[in-house]
Amino acid sequence: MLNVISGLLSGGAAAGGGTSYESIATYSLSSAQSAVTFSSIPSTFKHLQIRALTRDSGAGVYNTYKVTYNGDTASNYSVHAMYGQNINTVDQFGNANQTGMVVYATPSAVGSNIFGAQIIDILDYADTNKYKTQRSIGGVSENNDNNLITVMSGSWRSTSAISSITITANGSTSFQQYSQFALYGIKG
Amino acid sequence: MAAGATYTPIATTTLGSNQTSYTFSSIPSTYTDLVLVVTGKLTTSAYDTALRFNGDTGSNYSRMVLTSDGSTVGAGRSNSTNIMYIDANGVKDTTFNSNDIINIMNYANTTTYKTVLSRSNNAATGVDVNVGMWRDTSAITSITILAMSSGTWATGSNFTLYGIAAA
Repeated sequence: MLNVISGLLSGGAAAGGGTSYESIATYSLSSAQSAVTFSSIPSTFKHLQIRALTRDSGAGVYNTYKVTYNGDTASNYSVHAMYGQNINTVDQFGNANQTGMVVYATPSAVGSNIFGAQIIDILDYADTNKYKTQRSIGGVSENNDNNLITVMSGSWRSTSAISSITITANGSTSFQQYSQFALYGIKG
Repeated sequence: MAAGATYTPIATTTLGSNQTSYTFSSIPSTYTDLVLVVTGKLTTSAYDTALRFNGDTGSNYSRMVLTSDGSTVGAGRSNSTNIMYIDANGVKDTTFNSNDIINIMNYANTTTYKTVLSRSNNAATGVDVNVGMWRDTSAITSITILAMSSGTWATGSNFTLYGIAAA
């Protein structure tokens, strides 16, 4: 039996308190789509979180996708990552002057029921005094030798408040049906 | 644009006695993701802990881990196991309460396999980041948290389950 906590109702607040985590918008794809955009993001939160399940149409084992802010596709992004792959393969990389934040891991040419997961935190997104920092964990376990787990960070060299986020599938691929992108706001 | 508050506590328990496992059952399907927060220690030495969904004891689980023990970083995978391991060096021990934050994504959908992202942390033994897969399209209605290798969860260990509902 569930030991349900009384006084805390779905979507509501505890007596005398409030919740600081709110759903903003969600894309659940009913057909293939190359990109999704969250626009008109309110500036009333402290941080944002994207929770994604992805699969794309590529031919590789797994792919990346790209996150860009406010439509900026110039080379204003940098990323750093460490990752584990299969049996005792550990590595890292860092890339400056990118055209978006690269995020792993989206499976491609595997069983159709397999989706990679990513949780992306975008910190202090509405602050106009600092560059924006993103961090994420993501991975996919395919029950074979195609497994990947990543820890990543990134920076967008702009002091603009983030009001839109575009998530674009790798190259000419598309996100497949049942891919999902949910945006949440966290209050400070 | 905001659609509503979420990250709702579903259930919590603090063990009043040593137990080999604890199960959250009758999990409602009304959320998008689940977050399971574990804070606890074991009564024996440092052992792995693991998850099992809907009581499935088949070899339908896998996981990939990136792990560190303070001197070495490593990676490993476990395929076709009958449990989903959630730690490697961030294991539970008998002295320090260690913690896991486990994200169970899109747990109620009946179309895709279930993907789990988690972090395990023990200041004395190490840290892990994991991805796991349960190869089943059933909605998850119960989660069992297991202590492995004849270990038992110690009195005072806490398990809390949250639900996150997308707009």
